[in-house]
Amino acid sequence: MTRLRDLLQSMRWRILLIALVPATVLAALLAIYVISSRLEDLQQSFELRGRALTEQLATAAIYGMFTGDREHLRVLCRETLERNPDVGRVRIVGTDGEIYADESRLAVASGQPRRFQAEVRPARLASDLNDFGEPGGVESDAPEGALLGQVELFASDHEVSGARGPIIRNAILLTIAGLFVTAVFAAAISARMARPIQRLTGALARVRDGELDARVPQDSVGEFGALEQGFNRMAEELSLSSEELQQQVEQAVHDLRDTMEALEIRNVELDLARKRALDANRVKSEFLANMSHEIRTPMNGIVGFANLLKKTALDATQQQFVDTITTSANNLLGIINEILDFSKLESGKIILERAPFRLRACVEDATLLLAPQAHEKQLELVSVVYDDVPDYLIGDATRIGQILTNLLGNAIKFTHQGEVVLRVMLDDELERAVRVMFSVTDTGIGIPVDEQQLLFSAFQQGSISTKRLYGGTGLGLSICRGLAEAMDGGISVASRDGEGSCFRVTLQLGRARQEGQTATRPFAGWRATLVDAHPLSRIALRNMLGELGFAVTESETLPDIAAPRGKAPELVVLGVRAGAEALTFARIQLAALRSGSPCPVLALVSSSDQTVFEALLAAGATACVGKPLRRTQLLEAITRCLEGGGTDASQATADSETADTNQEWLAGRRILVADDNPVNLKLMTSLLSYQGAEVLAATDGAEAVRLALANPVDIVFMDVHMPVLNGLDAARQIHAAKPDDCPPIVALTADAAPQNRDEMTRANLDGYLIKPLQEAQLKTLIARLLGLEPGEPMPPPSTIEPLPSPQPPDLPLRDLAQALRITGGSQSIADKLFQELCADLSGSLAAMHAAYAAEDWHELWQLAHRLHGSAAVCGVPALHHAVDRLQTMVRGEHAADIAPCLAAVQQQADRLVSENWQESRRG
Amino acid sequence: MQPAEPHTSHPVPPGSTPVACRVARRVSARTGWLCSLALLACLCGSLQVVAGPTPFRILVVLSEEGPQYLRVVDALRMHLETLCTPDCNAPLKLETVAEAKFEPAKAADFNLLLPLGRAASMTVARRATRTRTIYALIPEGVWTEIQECCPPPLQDSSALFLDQPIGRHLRLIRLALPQLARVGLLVGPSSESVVSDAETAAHATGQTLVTRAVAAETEVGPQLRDLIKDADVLLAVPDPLIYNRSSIVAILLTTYSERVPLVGYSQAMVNAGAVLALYSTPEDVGWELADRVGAVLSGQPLPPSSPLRHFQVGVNREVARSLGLDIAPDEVLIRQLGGHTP
Repeated sequence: MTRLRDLLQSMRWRILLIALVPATVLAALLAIYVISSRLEDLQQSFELRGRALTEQLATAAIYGMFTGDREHLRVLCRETLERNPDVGRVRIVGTDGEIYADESRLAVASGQPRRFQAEVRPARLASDLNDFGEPGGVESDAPEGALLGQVELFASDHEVSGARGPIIRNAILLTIAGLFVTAVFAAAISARMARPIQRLTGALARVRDGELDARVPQDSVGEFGALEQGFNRMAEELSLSSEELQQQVEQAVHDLRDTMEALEIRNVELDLARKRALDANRVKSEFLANMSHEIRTPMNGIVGFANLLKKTALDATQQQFVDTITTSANNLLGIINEILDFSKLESGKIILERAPFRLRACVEDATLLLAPQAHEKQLELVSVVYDDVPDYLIGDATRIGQILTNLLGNAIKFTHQGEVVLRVMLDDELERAVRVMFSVTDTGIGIPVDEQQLLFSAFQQGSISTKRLYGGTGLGLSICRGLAEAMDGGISVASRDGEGSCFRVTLQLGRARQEGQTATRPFAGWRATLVDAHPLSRIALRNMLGELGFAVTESETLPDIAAPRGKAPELVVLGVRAGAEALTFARIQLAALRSGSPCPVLALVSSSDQTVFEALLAAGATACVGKPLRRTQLLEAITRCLEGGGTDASQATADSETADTNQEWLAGRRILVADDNPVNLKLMTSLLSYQGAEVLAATDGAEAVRLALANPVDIVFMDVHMPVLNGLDAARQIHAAKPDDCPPIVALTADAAPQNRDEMTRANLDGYLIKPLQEAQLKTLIARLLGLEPGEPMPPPSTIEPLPSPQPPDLPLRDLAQALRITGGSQSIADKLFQELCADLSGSLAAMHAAYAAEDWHELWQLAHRLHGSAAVCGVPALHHAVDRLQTMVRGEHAADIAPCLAAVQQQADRLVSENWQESRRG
Repeated sequence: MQPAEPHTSHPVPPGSTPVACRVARRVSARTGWLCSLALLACLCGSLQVVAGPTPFRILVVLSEEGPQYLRVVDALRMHLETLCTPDCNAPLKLETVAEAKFEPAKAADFNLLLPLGRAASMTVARRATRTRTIYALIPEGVWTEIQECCPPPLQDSSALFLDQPIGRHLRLIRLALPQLARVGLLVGPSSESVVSDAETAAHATGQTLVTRAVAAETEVGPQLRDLIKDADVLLAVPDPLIYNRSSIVAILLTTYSERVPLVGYSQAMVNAGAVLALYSTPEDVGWELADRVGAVLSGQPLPPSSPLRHFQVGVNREVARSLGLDIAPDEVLIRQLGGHTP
């Protein structure tokens, strides 16, 4: 069927069809026309002949009809019949219907008889018979001669019918013969026309298939000859162009290959440069961190010995100098801490803790920490935590407190009057987390709009005048932003120049299960009257009193307590703002209150000045506490207030200076201190000895183990990084040697990063202290561990998140998309890097195993670090993660922890090599 | 052809100029002192010449204004120019009018009326006054009819019959076709009167007259067939019942089929197929009318009514040759018949 269609669509058949179809149509039309014309002519001839015969007979019959000669008429009819075989009957009828003659043939011819008629009417003379008209009378006006009768002739058309068949047959035969001749002629013409076209088509197909040397013989004439010549020229041009193009393509490919190689070299160089830059940046950060660490150690000595110096007998001038040293050292320590944090953020080494904490306590701590500064500037420092904000959350409370402290410190720093308000509100609730927004609003100097976006960049601090006036490193807000972003949050600022600022920090924190502690309402059913002129402060206090069970009646000024409308409240809480005027007004109010009501009055003062407390107590306050304050502090103050006085304002405001009342509280206790730094060792020895403890000093871990095993000690302070034997291993050995009566061991470290804390936990340490040491923290920890006095609890080990699984479950072996992103979309470079990685894997792993066997952790760390860098740019997430784990473990230098990580790295390397081998076989 | 002048026209008399010359010669012959008197007399004489003798006015009344009639008027006018009025000074004025516009009241203004054709003759005969009248272009039967219906003062009128006398026809047959002695005559009601004259004339010429009479048109064919069985030649006489434009072809076919020649009475019949015909042309009529007007102008009484003396003989040589007849030339025949040529 397809062959037939192709044949019909060929040029030869088309030409044949073009010639034959019109000829056939024309021949058919002509045949039809000729046949019909011939038949019509036959019919007309028959008609004319019959009519002529009849009229001739009519003329001949004039004499007979005129004279009534019937015999003459019959003779006429008979002669007509004899001379015309197709005439079957002739009849002559008079005007009156009388038949004058009627002759017919006996043998009637076949066919349809046709009847012809003619009138027998003599002609009428054109002119008058009289030359002068009709002078003799009137002639008839008949237009023609008088009608004498009628001739009827019946003729058969059998001759016409008989001629029809031969006419049609002959016409058809002629048509067929003509068509046959036309077909033969057209076939010959089409064959002659199609032959050169077929040759051209074949040559064209060969050229299309790439055979550019195909040519057609030039033996045609006319247009076909020109076509063949043109085709040959075109094929020749095409061949030349193709060769030229091929050369150009080869040249372009060669150039492109060179360019690609240059680009790959360039990319590798860039990658190496990037790695070098990263290494340099890491080295810089590590240098900064190390430097900070190294600075913190002597700073520990400076601060510690300055505090010790303050406890000695000094005159006023010496005391002032020591205070200056302490303040300067603390400021320097703050700066160093900021640099350390910034360095960690820059190097990506900061690891956030995920531990349950109480948000309100965290907020209160930050507020309390900065309360003295606010009081010093007579600012109202208020923290408001909205009711819908969950209290138990999971996160890094230390870093959150750091953010809040930084923001509050900035707010206080740049505010000279008015207030600083910390609001905590719920921004969004997720399935297992919440987004909490912290906003710190002040009434300070504000920030111009064009400086706001610069604030969160490192070392930026607004205008130069501001920096010069207020000082600072310019790292605080940058650190805040880094921490917020690390906690899946962000930070923003809204401010107007001269109208204060509002910093908003949004953090995503996990939800924590509330562990059994339900809020106690010890004063349920009690009535309290809250008097505070500051609305936000009043709201904060109302919430706290309400949480304790009080039914709170609040007012801006002191109401009439003895008003007859109701019963007098059991407690009056009087908020007193900072400043002399507020103090005077409060004293007046207290005097008025004391004169009318005996109910206890708790004064909450925005000040840390002891004289203010004393003045208010003298004015009639039952108790006096500085604000803001913790809930526990409020509860204690209310309890003391309701118990009837004896309130010690210093006890209410200070939280760590109680130990000063008992300097020898550690008498009879033996404490082992191990530190390779002689200054730190001296400081710890002095602090503990000063408080009555017997101190055993060791300068390395091995000595510490020996002393701990040789002497019964109550507590051990162990520096983590020590020569010979580090602190953690020493702790393990002590635990191993004295599993039943092992003394509590506290680590001393300058780096309390979570991973370090994890290691300390695994080493069964009972706590840690961060250098530089704070004496209050030291006392609190010792008291807790020895059961001498309750102190701040350490997070229990169970609440610390467990170590992640050494084998990541779902990381892919290869991530080609990641590799392409790293190489800028170059598949060849990615493949090249991957091949190089695979080629180096066996050697690297062998070296790592050797370093592990030799316990050359530094070498192992270096090898792991190198492999880590290679894995990072090759798109091998599983291997990269395993090496990352190994690098972390190597830092701990503990063979038992390193072994599984190294095995994991070996496993991932084996998988990669196997995968690469299979791919090469498939490729 | 000169167009007919309307009877209202006043052409200058042909004789006015010779009269004025004579008067001038008389004046030049008188004495001088009598010049003024003579001038007055000349003037009076001139006025008398201008009023002149009363013209002799002839009115031709035409039945129709066909070419044959106009040829008659032209021939009449041509021959009248050779004639003189009675005093030879009075002008002769010929006017023509159609029969439809003829006004009998004005007929008295004319000296002679010439109605041509049956219609004009009947009109003039019925309405004309006592003006002398010559009727022309009518058969003798019409003249008889006029005399019967409108008896005019016969002394003031006469007629020129258009039909040729039957004896002249028989003589022509005798001269042209001497071998054909039996002359057939088919007559109808309006032509049966000629039979007696024909028998008389045939007797005189030694011919045998065979007659058949038809009373209706349907009898023409059978009677003709019967007649030509007994006759050698068929003589046609004017009878509309027998010889008309519709029947003549059948009659000719019949006679031709029996090889009997037909002798007709008009040029049209010769043209249609008659072998011979005796007839008068318009010029013959105009000439003979002019002869009669000349007689009137000469003061003679009107001649009596008669056939035309001027006639022609027509021969269809083709038919004659077909029938195997040898006929003498036309002029010979006319001369032998005693006819006049213009």
